[in-house]
Amino acid sequence: MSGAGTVREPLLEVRGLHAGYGPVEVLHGLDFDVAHGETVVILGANGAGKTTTMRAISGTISRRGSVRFAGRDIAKESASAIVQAGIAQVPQGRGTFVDLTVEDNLRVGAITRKDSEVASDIARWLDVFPRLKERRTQKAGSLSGGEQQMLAIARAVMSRPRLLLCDEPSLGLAPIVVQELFQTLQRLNDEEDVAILLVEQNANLAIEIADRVYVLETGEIAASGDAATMRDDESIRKAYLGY
Amino acid sequence: MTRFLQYVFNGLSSGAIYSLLALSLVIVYRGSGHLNFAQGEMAMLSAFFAWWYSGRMAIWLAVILAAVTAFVLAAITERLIIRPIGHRSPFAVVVAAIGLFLGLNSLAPFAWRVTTQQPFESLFPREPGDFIRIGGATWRYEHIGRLIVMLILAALLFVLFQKTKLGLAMRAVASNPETAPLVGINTGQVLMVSWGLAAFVGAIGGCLVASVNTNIDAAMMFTIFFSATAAATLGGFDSLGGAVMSGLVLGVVENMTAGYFPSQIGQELRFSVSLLIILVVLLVRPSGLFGSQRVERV
Amino acid sequence: MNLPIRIPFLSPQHWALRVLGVAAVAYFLVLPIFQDRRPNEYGELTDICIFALAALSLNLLIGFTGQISIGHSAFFGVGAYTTAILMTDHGWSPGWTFLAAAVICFGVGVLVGVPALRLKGLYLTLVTLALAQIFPALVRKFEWLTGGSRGIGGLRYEQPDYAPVDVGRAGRSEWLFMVALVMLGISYVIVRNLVKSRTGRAMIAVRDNATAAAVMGVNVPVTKTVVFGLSAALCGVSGSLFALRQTQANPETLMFTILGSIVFLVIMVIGGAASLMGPIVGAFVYYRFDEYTRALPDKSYLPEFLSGFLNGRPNLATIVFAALLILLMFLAPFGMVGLAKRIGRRLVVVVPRPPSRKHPVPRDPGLPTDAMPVDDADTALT
Repeated sequence: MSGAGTVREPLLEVRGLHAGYGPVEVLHGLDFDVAHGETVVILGANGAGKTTTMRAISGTISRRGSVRFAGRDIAKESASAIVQAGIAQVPQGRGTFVDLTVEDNLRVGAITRKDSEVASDIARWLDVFPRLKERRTQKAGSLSGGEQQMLAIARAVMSRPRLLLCDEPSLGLAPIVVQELFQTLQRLNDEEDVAILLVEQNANLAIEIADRVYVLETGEIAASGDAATMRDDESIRKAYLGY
Repeated sequence: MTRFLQYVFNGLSSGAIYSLLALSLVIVYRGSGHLNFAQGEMAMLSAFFAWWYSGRMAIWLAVILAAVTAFVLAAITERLIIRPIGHRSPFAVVVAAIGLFLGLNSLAPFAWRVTTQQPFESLFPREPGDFIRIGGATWRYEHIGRLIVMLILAALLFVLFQKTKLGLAMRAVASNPETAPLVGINTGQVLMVSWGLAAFVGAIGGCLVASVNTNIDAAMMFTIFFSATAAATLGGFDSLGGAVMSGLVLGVVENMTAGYFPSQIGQELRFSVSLLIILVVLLVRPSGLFGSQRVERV
Repeated sequence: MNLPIRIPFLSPQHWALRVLGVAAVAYFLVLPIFQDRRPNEYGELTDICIFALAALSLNLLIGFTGQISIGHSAFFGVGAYTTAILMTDHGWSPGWTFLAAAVICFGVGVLVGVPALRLKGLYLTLVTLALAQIFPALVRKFEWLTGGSRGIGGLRYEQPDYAPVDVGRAGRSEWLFMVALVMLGISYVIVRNLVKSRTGRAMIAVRDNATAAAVMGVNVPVTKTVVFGLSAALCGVSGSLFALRQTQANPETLMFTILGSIVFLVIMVIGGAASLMGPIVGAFVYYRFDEYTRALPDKSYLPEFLSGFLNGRPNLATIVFAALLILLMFLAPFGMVGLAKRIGRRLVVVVPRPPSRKHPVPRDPGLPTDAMPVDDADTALT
């Protein structure tokens, strides 16, 4: 946990976010922030609107409201512009390009970059994830769930984002793999100064690495606070975190 | 032996065309998930454009210009017709493609007021002496030419897909169209390029057909389209190399069966051989001979 | 008045609506029998019935298998040639040739269907494309049977004595029309019963989901194959009628090529693929529209530049149809009947009645539409 609570303008500032699918509105005016280098966790049950929130920020669905990233309003930008602005998403279910090799998956993560350091970045991340390095020329579809999740994260950081959106990364993974996963996320946050916005059902582990927590309930923020408070407050724990 | 070789040589030539059209079909299918029924007619129309242009310029230039025209028109078609209709239902896209088939087929005679065959200049030298002899069989330059052009185009496509950013983007969209926007790929542009590229390749194919026929008419791509589809099916619809190989194989097999059984099969029914082959292959190995074994996208 | 008006299922108002619908159809199709029309008018109506029947066969296929066939021109041709051959070489009377055509086409359909229906997605459509391509070539090859390129001509039929029509030439076309109408009616009844049957509902609801269908106790592959055969049979009968109408069978006929298949498809789509009434409406529209666009270039009311432009350019009708087809996919993917239903639903909605002691579960629960492919609008809640 690092760099939380500075006096700078937040990296991501969301006000009055409305989003949905067709005539159905799922998010009814969300307000939340992510500061530079923070790890913010949004908890919520199924159907609360977690994935919708991710999609609204990354620009893949239509949304209303104010979304400011690094001082810029991105509420009307296209998904590719948002990636170029510095937000990367690790989608629910990994979204692996199963027919491409591991290496190509990484390459595709950097497809919007115009600099010449892509190859060295690929080499670097393969070192960070040795299991991916072993399989670099294999088709991504042949990797295990945990490996694909790592690949999805590596792919996302290939675009050198300042904010990483992670949508339920623990879904479908064995607990020990999830632990490793969250450790990786924490390392990214600490060492690379990448802010992380994480949505999860798995409250326990997520809170461990969070700086601050929001609770999402049927499209609205029901509670918020810094991680320690949320964890220690019994009533909040019982009501929202289930334990 | 001579006869056999002759069939092989001629088969490779017609097979080259099947490969080109099959490549078009595969590019569109991988890029947007649709089977473009109108691919053959687009190629035919492009050949008409080349014919039209060739009145004002050298034939090779006309062909390239026609291919570029095809690229642009196909990209526009994808954007304005296929994509919006595709949002409604896949059934509607198939019907729309059939509509395009019909419309483009009728458009050529309509636009140029031609009801009969028109002469088309050959792209290769075709004097009576323009051939090489191997094992007693003659391999005419124009047939060799078709094969070489196809191989060059296939190689260029390979480089495009494997070594360029655009190719990577196209492969990514083909593999997972939902995630592609998340890495910043403009899926819409990629779709348009897929259709454009396919039309470009198809246009070259159509012009090569006209070149060897030395004439052009609205019905020239009918049976070729079918054999090309057979080749694409054989190749698994997801592999460019498969499309190339299958096209050549089918061309040779068709030629041989037509040649060795002239009365039972002959020229009119030669494509029925393709039909038989694909039926058998699909029943035995649904992902095609060269395709990767995975759940098929419908 | 509050729109949409809601009327209960099977109530008197509902019956009134249904009767109205039937009457509308009867006006266009059945009334001509009782009037005295000129022979060529009966000929036109016969053509409309033929097209409607062919489109109906496609409608059945897409309803049950969700797949499009562009090879029905082959079945059309087989039917036509069956009639032509049996009548000229073997002296059969026309009526029996219809049966023969149906049986033969059923057989061919099943033969093609058994392997083809096992293929996924658009492969069936591709196979039918091949079928359409092969047919004219086969006809030319088997000269001893089909008369090759010359075809078989001189088909004659006479109206029987009991027929309620005039004698001689005048009555003949009216008689053919009546026969065509009856064939269309019978086919309509067959298809309708199939759709409403338990198997039919199951197939339509789970068309693309083999597992779900199997769970419902329906043998999907067998049903699909039988339906394909039936679809071929109906199309074959329409081909037989066509042969009589043309008094010949000839491989040059455009309707025996893939263009014929496309015409049937166009008719089905114009009318509406999700409704049994679609083919009939579509056939009417197609026929009139086709007539109109063919005559258009010569019309005197066209402005000078337009008729100058159109002069010498063939295929106007086809281009217009192709454009129409594409436009329809934008505006009205479920055809005119679908469009009419949508508009109609804003006016009147038939509401299913919950079962009670007085009215136990009706035999026909659910939406009283002739829906085949599920039209999203058909399952809308309003």
